[in-house]
Amino acid sequence: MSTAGLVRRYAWNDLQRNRGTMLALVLLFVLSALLMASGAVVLERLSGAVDRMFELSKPPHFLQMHRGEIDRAALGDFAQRHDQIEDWLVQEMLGFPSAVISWEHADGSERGDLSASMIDHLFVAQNDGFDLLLDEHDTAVDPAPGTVFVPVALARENGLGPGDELAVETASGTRSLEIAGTVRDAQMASSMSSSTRLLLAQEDLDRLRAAGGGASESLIEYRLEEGADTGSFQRDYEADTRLPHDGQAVTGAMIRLITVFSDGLIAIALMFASILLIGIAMLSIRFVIRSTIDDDVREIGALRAIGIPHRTIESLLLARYGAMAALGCAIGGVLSAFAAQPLTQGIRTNFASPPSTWLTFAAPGAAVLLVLATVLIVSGASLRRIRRLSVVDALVHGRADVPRRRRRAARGRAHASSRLAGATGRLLTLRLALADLLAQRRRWLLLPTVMCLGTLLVTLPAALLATFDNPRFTSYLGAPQSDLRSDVQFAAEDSAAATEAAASLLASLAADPRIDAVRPYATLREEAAGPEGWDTVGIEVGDHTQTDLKFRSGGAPAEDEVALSVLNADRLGVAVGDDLDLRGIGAAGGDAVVTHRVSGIYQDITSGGYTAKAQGAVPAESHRWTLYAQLSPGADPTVVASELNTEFPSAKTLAMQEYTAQTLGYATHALRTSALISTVFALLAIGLISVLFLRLAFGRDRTDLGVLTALGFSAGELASLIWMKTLIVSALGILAGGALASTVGSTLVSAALALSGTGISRLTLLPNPWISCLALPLLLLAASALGPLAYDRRLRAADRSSWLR
Amino acid sequence: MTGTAPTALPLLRVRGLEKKFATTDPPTRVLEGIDLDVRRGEFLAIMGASGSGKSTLLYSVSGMDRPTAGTVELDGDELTTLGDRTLSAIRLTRMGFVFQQARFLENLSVRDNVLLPALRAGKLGARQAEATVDGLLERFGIAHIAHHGVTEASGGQLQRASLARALATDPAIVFADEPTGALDSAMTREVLDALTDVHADGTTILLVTHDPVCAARAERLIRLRDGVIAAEREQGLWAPEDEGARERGVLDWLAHHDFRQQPGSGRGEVFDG
Repeated sequence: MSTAGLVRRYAWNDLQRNRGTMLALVLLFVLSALLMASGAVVLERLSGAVDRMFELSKPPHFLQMHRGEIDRAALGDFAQRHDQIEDWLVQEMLGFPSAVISWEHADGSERGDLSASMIDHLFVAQNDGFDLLLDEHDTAVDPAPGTVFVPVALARENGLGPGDELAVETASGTRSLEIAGTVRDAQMASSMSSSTRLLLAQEDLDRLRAAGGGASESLIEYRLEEGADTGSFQRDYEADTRLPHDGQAVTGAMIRLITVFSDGLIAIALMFASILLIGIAMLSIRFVIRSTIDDDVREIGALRAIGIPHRTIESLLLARYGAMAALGCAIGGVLSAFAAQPLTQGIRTNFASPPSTWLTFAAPGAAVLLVLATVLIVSGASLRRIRRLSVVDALVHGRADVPRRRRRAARGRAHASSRLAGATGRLLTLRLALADLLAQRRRWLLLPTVMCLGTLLVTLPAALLATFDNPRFTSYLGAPQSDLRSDVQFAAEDSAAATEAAASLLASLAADPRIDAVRPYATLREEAAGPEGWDTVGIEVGDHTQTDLKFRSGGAPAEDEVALSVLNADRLGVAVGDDLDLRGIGAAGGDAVVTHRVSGIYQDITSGGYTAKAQGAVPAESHRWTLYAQLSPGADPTVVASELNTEFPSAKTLAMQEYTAQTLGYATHALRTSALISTVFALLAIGLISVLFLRLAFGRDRTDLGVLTALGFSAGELASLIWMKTLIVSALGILAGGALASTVGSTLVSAALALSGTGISRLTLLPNPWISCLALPLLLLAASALGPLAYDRRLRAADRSSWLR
Repeated sequence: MTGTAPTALPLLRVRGLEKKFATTDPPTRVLEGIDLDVRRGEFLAIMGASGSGKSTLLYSVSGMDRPTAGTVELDGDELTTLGDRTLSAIRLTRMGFVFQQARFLENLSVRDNVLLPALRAGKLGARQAEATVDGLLERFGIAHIAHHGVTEASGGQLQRASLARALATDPAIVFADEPTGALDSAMTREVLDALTDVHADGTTILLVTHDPVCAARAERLIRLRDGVIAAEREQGLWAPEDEGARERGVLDWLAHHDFRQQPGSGRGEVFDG
């Protein structure tokens, strides 16, 4: 037999002998590759789907929402003076209070209304040219008279489908429409968008408007030439006072960001999880290779003694681990194709179906190759140990470690004082376990490291999820802590009506015995001097002195002061203590410029993250009002909100927790999916590694087990020794992971959120202590217990005297 | 065949002991119907070639392995029917072991290794156990390496430490499996002197060896061949002045019983001592 043949035979026999270990390792590679490839698939599909939808529906590059009259001549004039405008349009929308929109399934089995929704439901007809609403077949559909296409989210939440009925209670009776299908909306697909569009025929829209009870709203939309600067275009638009301004202005980049936010979150979470998992797999393969070399040191020594170069042995073993990694990666890659189906379900429903391109296969392929390459690099480095092996030491003493290091270790032990003195019974077993752990700490480090990474993988998404669910999260919504929030929002010219509605709501709230305190605020539209001109800012004016809103820096505004949201402060280039020129504020409301000092900066994800607060008497009139109410103990905010919605349909009242839930709806849903996936994968990986580690440890500990058996340790006591060791290091790993999650984790999540541009720049995680400190650690411990369980079984089945021969 | 001296009540009584390993194809019968008595305070050596089954016999009677058939009684207690926990407790308190390679827990110092069974047995308080162990280390001349790591001690020192560990629980019997197999002649003498010393104190010793020098120290010899007892020899107590004569006597006895490979015998039985 040739040299290579001999080594090949050795490698093959070794594989046969350690089937369990190798299987566990391959499984680990499968998990890593599966996660990495799935993340890549989600990312590729998401970007493909969004690109495709943007290509088909052509959302505007800039849009301005507006309530009230529109000066079309001014718009035409503006368009003529701007060459970069490719196309523009004004979409007329008709909004009805959520409470008057109801639905019923075709078979009459279920009915309901949208009163609990804080989103504006706007009826529109199909646009011409751009900003098209697409049906499920990606076509810009024109509904037949009498039918309506509802947004995907609305259909999903209420289980609506073709044939079901949607009814609107207008001022002159109920108008019914038959649901014909769903529409995908490129600019209002996210839960973070404050409105959603329902598509019907132009004649139905006219009929609804004529029926009364609805409020008109317009979307002024622009498509710009390629390469046009949206920022300067927006400034030009806002500088022209004749143009409609009464509402939010949104740019294409923001639309895209909000659209991809939630599904992007899944992809990023998957990639993050897979990176941690690859780290775990790398540690494991390094451990397996080192253990295998230790176990086979005599064989390897013999091979080298008969003249086989270390390079041949190394390359053959590398080929073996490479083949295992390739197998694992191939399986993981194939499985990711199946996993992608449920993971991209949301993408396919919300956005257009993306065509498959070379990237569809290349992205997961590259992800899998990355895993493979990492395995090969780590394996190669670990196998270099063979090169350093002393042949004599290997053959005579059966040792793979460097004699110098061994002597040093022995000296370390020699100087140690007695580790057992004075201990008896269980304490003796514990001392023995601790002595083992201390002496073999380099080897045992694998388990706590894996547990630490696993803890991060499991607790971070759970903590973020709990943070979103925590009532204290309202401080990121730019709102003080309260139980109820009511919004009254009318067209600019209807501010008298809005003020009247707000006043009667305020009176009712003040008189309600269930309500302890109410704070009203009016939002005024002002202009603030930014570095590149005047920017529009909505300023919430009222009494902020008692606010418990958390400020990122500075504090609540006093007279002649203004507090800004993080994104507004960034946009306007100001910090706490700076002066800010405001135009239009004050009783006159004219063009007079008033200087305010910036008192504080807070985090806010509502209104696109651009809000401001000023201290002052509540203005006599405004078309936008927000009321925060504190309930007396025992009152149910949901019940109160529901009653108020019926009594005051022109205001929108929500329990604060419901407001948070609805604002973050998609993100929370996405996060829950990724939290679940990372938990399952982390538990699988921990279970696998615990089994793998202890399987190899069993081989290494044979002699010690034999000695202990001769010294009267029963199989049960030997098992309890390994249980102790595993649980101690696992608990240490979990503690370290928990500490890391609560320090670095918060920073990491904050950084990711700050990058996402949603208006949160520093997030304090508010984990649920029962879940993060009890349930998840127990789950992780349970997964790590798989190793000792398997060890226990091997122990009891073993031929014990063989450990000593 | 029974290697018994009917006059004394045996400490260890073995009847019909069989051990078969089913993992090989065909299954290997290593011990075939062994009957054996070990007297209280006796120094018994079991000799045999490699593969004759002597180590298997030792591990089977000491409860480390379960025999396939037969009974083993220690001081009247039948061991083969006991559960693992009870059997382990008996190993801890009533048996001591010395192996061919000095087997120690490398994570502990020499003293801690010796102390471990004493503390576990709990016959003495922790303080007294430590005093006993320190006395044993002194007795075997290894007190100066008590706090050394086991990799820093010589083979002879470690085997003496093994013996100290075996005696730490004041056992009824010490099982020694080729205790000098890995030692040079000087170290072999050190260990044998220690064993003889222990026996002189009244401890029962069951020694497995293929070395006539070792076997010369025993009171009685049993030769195992192909898993059965082939011969037995009473040679009385050892005295230093008899050393050369006793070794020659053992060699003569072995030669007389033709331990070399039998023509046509199925198993290679080469005496490698």
